[in-house]
Amino acid sequence: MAVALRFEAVIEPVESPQDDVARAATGDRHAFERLYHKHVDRIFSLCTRMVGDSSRAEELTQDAFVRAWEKLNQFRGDSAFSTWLHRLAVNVVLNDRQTERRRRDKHDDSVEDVDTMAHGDVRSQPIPGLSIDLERAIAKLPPGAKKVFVLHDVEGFTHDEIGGMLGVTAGGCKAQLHRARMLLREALNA
Amino acid sequence: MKNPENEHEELDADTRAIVRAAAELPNLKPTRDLWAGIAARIEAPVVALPVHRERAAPRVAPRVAPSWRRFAIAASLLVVATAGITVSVMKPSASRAGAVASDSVPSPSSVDLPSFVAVAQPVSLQTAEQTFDREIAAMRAVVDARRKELDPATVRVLEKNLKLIDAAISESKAALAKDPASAFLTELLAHAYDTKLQLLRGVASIPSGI
Repeated sequence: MAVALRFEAVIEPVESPQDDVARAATGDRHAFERLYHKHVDRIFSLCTRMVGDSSRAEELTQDAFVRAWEKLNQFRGDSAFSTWLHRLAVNVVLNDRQTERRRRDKHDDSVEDVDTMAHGDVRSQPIPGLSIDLERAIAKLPPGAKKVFVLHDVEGFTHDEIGGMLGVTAGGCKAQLHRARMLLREALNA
Repeated sequence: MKNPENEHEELDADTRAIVRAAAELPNLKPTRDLWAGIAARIEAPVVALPVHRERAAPRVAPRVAPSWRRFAIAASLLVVATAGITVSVMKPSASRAGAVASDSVPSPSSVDLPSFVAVAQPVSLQTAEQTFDREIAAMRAVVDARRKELDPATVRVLEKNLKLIDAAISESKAALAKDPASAFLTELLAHAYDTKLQLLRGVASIPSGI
């Protein structure tokens, strides 16, 4: 009995995202690749904004998709695949040792961070008014404030969700968000 | 001197503008294609050696070892697989073990050896070894590229195990040189190659920072 083999050269039929999730969960790499192309920009954006380093963000994006491939069988469809993938990517970034090490080396979420942001990097290179890009200002936020701001204001997670991810209270999360917004305002108005 | 009420309004307006702008930030694009790196880490191109044993074969069968043919067939399938067959045989999750890669492609665990034989062109033992060597080298390259990301303890365990497996491969080869028709030694060599590949593949798939 000959085994029916399918080569990559064979033209794939167009699959719906739900089909691709189901097929990828059974090990179909083509389906997973389609999911990758559909979601990569959003995941990369998340990683970039959370770590403030695009080359590291590229590595973390790859890590997130590899992790998604490994855990796809655990996706139960309770939420949209994009939500699940997003959450997984957040965890990859938060668990990233290199990011944490860099955070410890460069910053500590202390008052000094606020000073560095408010009176250091940004003010030392003043760019008038609107020419300061919001992306750049986000990248210069202290790590803790940056994570909360990106997760809440950019990605739309709730304070409770962020608190759960970061291991802080919702109140602490709100305080960090306020701090981040004030720092951004100051940077953008500099 | 600024009116505190105006200041508060300005602050409020600025904050709302930042929140609005943040929510509307466009997606960023990676500077390079990241899929190749992902594919290398999730790819499992090698079809595992069939576990079926030809125990029914009479003891008087000629000493053209059946396991040699299995080894060669596995390697030839490897060639085909690396050329792009969509067979996912090494899903990391146990629940996906044996899962099919597409509707039409059965998993190795559910496929009888004769099925694979039907599509495989046996190659020489030397070619089979070369094929495994090539695949191992490719996986090794992936692992080496990720070495800095890996925990040093993991790297140490990897290198220690690779040394042991390499020693087993060398010994099997040396023994086979003296007894080329030995099915047992061929199985041993194939197993060592396969173990090395699985080890490298497993390490290549470890998420960074673990």
